[in-house]
Amino acid sequence: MKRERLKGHLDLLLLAVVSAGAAHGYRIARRLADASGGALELPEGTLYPALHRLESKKLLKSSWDTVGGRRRRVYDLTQEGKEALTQERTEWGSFAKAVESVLDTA
Amino acid sequence: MNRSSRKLQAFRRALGRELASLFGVESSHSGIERILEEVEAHLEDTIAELIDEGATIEDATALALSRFGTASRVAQAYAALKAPSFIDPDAHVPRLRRMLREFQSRGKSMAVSQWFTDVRLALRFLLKYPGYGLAFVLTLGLGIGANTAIFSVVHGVWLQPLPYREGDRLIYLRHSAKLARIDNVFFSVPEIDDFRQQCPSFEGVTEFSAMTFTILGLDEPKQVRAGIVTGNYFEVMGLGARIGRVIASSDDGEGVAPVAVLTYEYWQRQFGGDPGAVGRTVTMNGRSVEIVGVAEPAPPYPERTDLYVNLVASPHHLSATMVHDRLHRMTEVFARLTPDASLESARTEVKSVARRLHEEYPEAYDPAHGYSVSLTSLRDQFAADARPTILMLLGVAAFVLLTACANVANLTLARVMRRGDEWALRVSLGARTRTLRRQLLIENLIPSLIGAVLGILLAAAGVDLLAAYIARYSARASEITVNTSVLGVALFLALAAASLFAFLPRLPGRVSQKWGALNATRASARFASRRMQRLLVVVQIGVSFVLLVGAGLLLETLMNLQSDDGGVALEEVLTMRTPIDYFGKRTPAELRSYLSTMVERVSALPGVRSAAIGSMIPLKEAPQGVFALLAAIEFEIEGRPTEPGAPHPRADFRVVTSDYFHTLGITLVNGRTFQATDRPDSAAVVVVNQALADYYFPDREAVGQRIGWRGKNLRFMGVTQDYRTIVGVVSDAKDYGVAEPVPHVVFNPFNQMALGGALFVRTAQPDVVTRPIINEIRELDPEQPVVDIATLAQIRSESIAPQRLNATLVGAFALLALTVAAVGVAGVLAFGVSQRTRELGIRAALGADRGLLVRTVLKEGALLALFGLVLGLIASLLFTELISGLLHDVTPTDVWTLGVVGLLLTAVALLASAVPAWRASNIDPVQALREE
Repeated sequence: MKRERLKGHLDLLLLAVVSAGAAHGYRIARRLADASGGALELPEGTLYPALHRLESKKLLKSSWDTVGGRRRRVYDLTQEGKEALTQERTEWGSFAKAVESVLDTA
Repeated sequence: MNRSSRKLQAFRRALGRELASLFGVESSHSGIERILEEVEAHLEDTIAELIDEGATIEDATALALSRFGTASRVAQAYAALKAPSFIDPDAHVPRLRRMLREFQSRGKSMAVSQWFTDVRLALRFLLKYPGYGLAFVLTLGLGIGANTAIFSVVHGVWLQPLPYREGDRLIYLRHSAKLARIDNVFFSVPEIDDFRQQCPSFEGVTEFSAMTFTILGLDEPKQVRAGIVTGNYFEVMGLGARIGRVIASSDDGEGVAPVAVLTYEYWQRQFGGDPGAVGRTVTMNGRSVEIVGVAEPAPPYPERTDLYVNLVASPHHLSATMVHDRLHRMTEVFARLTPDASLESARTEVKSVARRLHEEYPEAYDPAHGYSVSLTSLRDQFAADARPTILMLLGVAAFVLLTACANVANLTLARVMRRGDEWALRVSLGARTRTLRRQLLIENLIPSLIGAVLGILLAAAGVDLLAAYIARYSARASEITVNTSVLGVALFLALAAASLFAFLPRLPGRVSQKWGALNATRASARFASRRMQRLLVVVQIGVSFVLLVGAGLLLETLMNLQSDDGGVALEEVLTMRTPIDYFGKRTPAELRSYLSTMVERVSALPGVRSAAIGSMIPLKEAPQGVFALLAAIEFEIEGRPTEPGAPHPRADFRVVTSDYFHTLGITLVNGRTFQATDRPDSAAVVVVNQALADYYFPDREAVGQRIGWRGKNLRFMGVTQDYRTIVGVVSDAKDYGVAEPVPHVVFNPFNQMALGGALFVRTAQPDVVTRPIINEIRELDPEQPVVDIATLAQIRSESIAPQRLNATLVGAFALLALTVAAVGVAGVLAFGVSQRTRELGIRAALGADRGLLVRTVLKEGALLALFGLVLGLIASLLFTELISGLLHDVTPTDVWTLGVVGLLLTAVALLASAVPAWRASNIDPVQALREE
């Protein structure tokens, strides 16, 4: 996928990445980079504002935890976050299906 | 501490400061501490991983920091959001207040630095896409250039104050005989005296009449056109002397010395601006005249004159006829209003005086002629004739600007769409639309201003050409310059254009809280932008259509005129004016013998086939003033008396020698031409042209009928009212130019009515015989001026110069618009193709016929062309009516022109679609799919 397009879905992607399991910022960044095949190269620093915004919107929750011998802030989905993700996934899926079927018949 | 950890510490501090200042809290705030700790952990993890991969600690730190982004970049991303919920600024109100004060004091410099940043970004953006920048600047530059140049004409001819002292108080009076269809019959001196004495709105009323003088005492005998003026002329007009003095009231009357004041233009042309010209004495029509000064530059109106002389310089002007005869109308009148008077008050007064005069002197105001006096402010009068041309040029320039703007707007739209993702992200990260809009504005402002500079340079380069063109229509053409007002207009256009380009594109809106809205917004913004793009291209095609139709109509006009020989042998007839001083040295009999000898001797020259004398040169513009009166003289047909009160028929009065018709290639239709037997003492005869014969004798032979000249002007010409027999009918010649209708003409034989004016020579080698002819004439009379030497072909070419210029100018602009439109079509389609690469690629992969892909794109091009053509057709039906006055033998709705232009535009649009279509058919499906 084009990098720009990925950026546009940053919020959705973050939720998706966190849904794979609670994780701290660095791990989330790595998962995002791996999943996008290195295509998403926005400055990693801008990840935190996005995370903190999702947290403020109560789609994510966070708590201190000790990972690898160091205190880290670990993020997890809230109930609301899970619901938002499910809903968005469904919408995306049906959208993609619709596009595919149009393209197949074209 | 090593360098690596010092770097990390510095970053942490910087970020802390940025965030604290951003959120308005202390940097020790727990929320900030939390962010910093997360960031620190992130950086350390990155560094550790990089070291694992084999990097040195120094490199790893540098790389980690660069991947993370600068402190201000991160802070910016926060700035776009509301403060995270775990930072509560309300807990730190005093600190916030302090921050606020600080912020306010720094506000200005921050705003300025923000502008600088935007400018820097915009410049970087333009340098990154030089093709875009260049297209922008060139297209807009042309549009602004065209408009700036035309506006300089409007300003020079119309808007700026007259170069006379308090010129807005100057009025031009015109006396017309509407029912006799004479636009300007001039005033007689008694009439002028009446207006002068009976209209309190006039502070001063001055008289001007132009006359041609033979001037001796310069390098060779020359002819000059002189304005004969009353002593108050310069005072009333508010015109001073550049050097020496102007004519004053002390120069009026009979006992004074004749004096001349040079016009600034003639002083430059004839004397090269030599101050020594003042004080010289020249001979004008046999009288010594002293040049006493040079006037300030002024518009040459009512006609171009070389100098001004006082009344005594022309004996006729002090004669009883001139001073006392109410019918002796040969003077133009200018007046200056008193400071309290208005044009309206003056108009009312003049009307009531005119009414009284009509009652008091019924013999001078034949109701059948419909005499009336009109008043125009001098400023409007100067611009009046240029109006249609200027309006046409303004229209054309506006269309060019419209199409240029449409093109640039399209470029800008495409740019914005390409950056849609970047901007959508910025918006989703909280950037305000206003910020983006400002950036867009500056990105457009810079090339717009460069375009304005280019436009001003173009206008400055073209303004002289334009002024020469307008000089045919307005006396003020020499005042056309690119000045500050004109620059202001260029600047205004640039600013307006930049704002348009910045506010036209739809920016991605603020993301609503609902998920997925971002996509929808972007999609709809993109859709709207594509629609806007197409609309702009349709406008471009429509504008090109209108301009091409205009150019086509003007070109057809030109071709019609160019293929018209005016009824004469164009190439082989050499003409020259040999003016005669009728008040001077020769009696009518002497004059007749002098001119006959001239014709005889010129005819005998080698290379000359025949020669003739005539009173008027054909294909030249209609005569003005006194000559208009001579041109259209009343006559009466024997046996058809004119009813009392009804106007007599009128015909142009010409005097020619017997070889005139044969020399000019005018053929005999019926009867005979003049012969040697038509002598002063034999029966009076005339020859008429076909137009007159057809009009007055449609049902019988004109030959054999008798006509007699009538009217009150005859006595000034020494012509009797006797009936004269029509002995011949000759073919029509376009005496007033090929664009003008053929007048009704009556030719009188030179032998019965000695009147000269011009010499006509039939020759195959005009260039070769010119000099010998002049030598021959000078041998006969060394003081005889010979001027305006040209073949009839050259005269015709000169007479249709305005039409040629119209066609060239509008044609050039139309081609420009066509090019711009073609680029627009190609650009929009290419952009569409690049945006649909994936779709087209999939279709190609699914086995779609490549021809089908080509056709899809071509069809879009054809559709755009079709809509453009419809728009253009409607617009041209609205607009070409406005130039119908500039057309000749072509109707504004000429089907042929509309058809050709339609085909041409369609062809160009399809051609422009071909490139993107070809690209669409060559999309590599694999590549296209991988891209997504």
